[in-house]
Amino acid sequence: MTTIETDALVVGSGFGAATVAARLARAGWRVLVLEKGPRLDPLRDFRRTQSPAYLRRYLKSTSSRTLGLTYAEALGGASGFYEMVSLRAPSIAFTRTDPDGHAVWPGGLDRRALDPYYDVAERELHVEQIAPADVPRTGLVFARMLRELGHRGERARYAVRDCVGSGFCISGCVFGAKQTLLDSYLPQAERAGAVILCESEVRTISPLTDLVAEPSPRTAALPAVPLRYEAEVRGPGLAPVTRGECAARVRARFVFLGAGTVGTAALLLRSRPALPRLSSALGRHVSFNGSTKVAALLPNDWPDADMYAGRSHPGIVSYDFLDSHGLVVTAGKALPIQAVAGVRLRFPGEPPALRRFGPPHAEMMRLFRRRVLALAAFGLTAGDARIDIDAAGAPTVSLAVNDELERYARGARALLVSLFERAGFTPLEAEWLDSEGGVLPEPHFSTAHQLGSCRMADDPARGVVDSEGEAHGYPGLFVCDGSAIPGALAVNPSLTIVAHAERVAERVIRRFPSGRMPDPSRAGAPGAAATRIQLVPRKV
Amino acid sequence: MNAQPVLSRRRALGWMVAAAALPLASGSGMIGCSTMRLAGGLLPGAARGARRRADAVLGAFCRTVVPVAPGQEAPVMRVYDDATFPLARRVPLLVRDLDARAGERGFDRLSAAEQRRIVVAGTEARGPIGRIYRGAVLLTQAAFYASIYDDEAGCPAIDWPGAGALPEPEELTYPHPEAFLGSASGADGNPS
Repeated sequence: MTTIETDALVVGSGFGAATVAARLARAGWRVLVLEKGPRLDPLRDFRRTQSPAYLRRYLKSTSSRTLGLTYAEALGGASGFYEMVSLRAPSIAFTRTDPDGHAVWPGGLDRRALDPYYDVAERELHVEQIAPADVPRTGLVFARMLRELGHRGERARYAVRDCVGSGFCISGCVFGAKQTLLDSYLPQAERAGAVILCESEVRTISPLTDLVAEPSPRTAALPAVPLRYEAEVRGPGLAPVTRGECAARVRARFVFLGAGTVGTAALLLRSRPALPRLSSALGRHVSFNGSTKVAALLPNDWPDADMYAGRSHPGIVSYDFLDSHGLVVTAGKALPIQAVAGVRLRFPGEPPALRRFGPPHAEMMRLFRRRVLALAAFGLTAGDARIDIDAAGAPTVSLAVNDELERYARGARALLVSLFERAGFTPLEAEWLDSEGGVLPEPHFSTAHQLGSCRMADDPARGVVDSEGEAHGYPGLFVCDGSAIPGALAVNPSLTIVAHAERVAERVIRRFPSGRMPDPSRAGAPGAAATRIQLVPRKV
Repeated sequence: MNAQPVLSRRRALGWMVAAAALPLASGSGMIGCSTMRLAGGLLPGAARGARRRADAVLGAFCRTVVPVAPGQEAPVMRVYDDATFPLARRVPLLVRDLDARAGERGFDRLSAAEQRRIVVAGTEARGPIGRIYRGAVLLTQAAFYASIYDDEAGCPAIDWPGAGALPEPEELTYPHPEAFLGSASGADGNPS
């Protein structure tokens, strides 16, 4: 079996993982990044398409009757497929408490503490506020609604340059306008010597030493830190396939988990027999931004919206309801595939079956492009969901809808309906669909904003990692992705994940200086990382 | 009650395999040759007939679910053979059930209202049949409205222009955005 040794093994290549990989490599660490999904070239592989076969190649999901989670498995994680919305979390998100009154966030971590890292993240991802002249029609209609009702609306912030408004953000930007990790942190990491291998899945992690009997240093020169963890890896990225399955081992001084809220939790749950001191909070406290959606028909005398033209996110958000309702309201857009596969709309009072198909459904689909406005509420809901694994080690999700969540869903929906009605819109009834076209029960939440499955907490009983992202009881094992973010943010979480990862990397580098500089001969070298692998495999 | 028996491709293939195996089992080359000629002459024809029948029923199903013009169903009907979706394996069952619910005339010969009633009943059925109907409706709609087999084609019926052309700059927004925008709570778009 092939075994490779490195300073840092980074699992995943999404927002958290790519950030840490770039920072460590630039600090002179030997870094190996293992990504489960395929390598992606934005200008070659992305397509303007609604083909389910294409989308399912990169976007995965796990769902239950009450909660559906979508996530990406590809180089760059979700950054290739997100809507580019890049907002700082509101201060109120950091003040939330668990039902028993304990603060959700660790002490000392709040918006002010994260702001310097948000600054860095915004620079790296070229985040800018959308100009008024670039706000899509749907966003302008929403802005007018807010203005007429006396509410404030913000032009949102995006990681994009020279957007042409093709409207296919969710299938990847073929114009290279979206500022993905494939344009920023990942090439930085490679230029600094990091090796990035795709189609390589880390199945388990186990400690190489008795970390209790031989405590690891809290600070030291990097070479003085022993190899502490071993990862079992599958996939053709690292070792040739034998007997239908390939296997390799990676031994590392540090492991940084960035496989996402679903992937990181599943990996640690599979590894639990070897990591028995992991907190019982593992896989629990999963938050999902309480995503609630309502659509309505525009008043006849209002100008058209447009579901299809312009960037996928319509440009306007409102923070006016954060203090009163604990949520952010935004408009939404959807391509035909998203509308067809996700929801069936009907006018109030109509029987549910009427518009499921045939001419009545076609009539609603015709209205959908220009005469329908959809609003979404993202709320500071509690982390009530949990991720487990099945017998094969694959992730599953569950959410028991309690009274508080039921109240939240009713309240969020009532707020959106009230906004529509006060502005003279006609709110539509909706049936939300599962992947087979079946009608989901209410409330059902679906999101790509899942957070917290390995959340930060000062107390090991309440969280998996400490405020610096290091696992309680397992020095050198870090979580740098959304799974460490301890609570819902009420905004898209990507920027907060990058900020968290920047903070984790900065503190680790400070504690464990490498004394090495990246090899200048490799700076800027293009091409596949596998050809530049500097790690020396050895047979054991 | 089925007026016309439906032969799925899988069943036809099964018959052909059984027919081919018969001479081996009997040990008679003569019988074998006759059996193979019989199979070669008749079963493919039966399979062709079954396919025509399935196409007729699925075409009618397609027109019931989405506003596709008669004779224009083929691009949408690709979804029923697409092995990407589990439905492809269950289409023969869908065809049989549609015909069974239609009675002697067959599903494709019913009025539009009668066809709609049957599809509504199918989607509301319990168990696997209901799942097959609901999945078939969903995929038919995806194939038609989202034109998943031809990104450029779009769907004029719902004003979906497809992926072939970029929207013109004047389509992206309105010329005087300030007429829509109101006050903001902060200077940069971030929450406080």
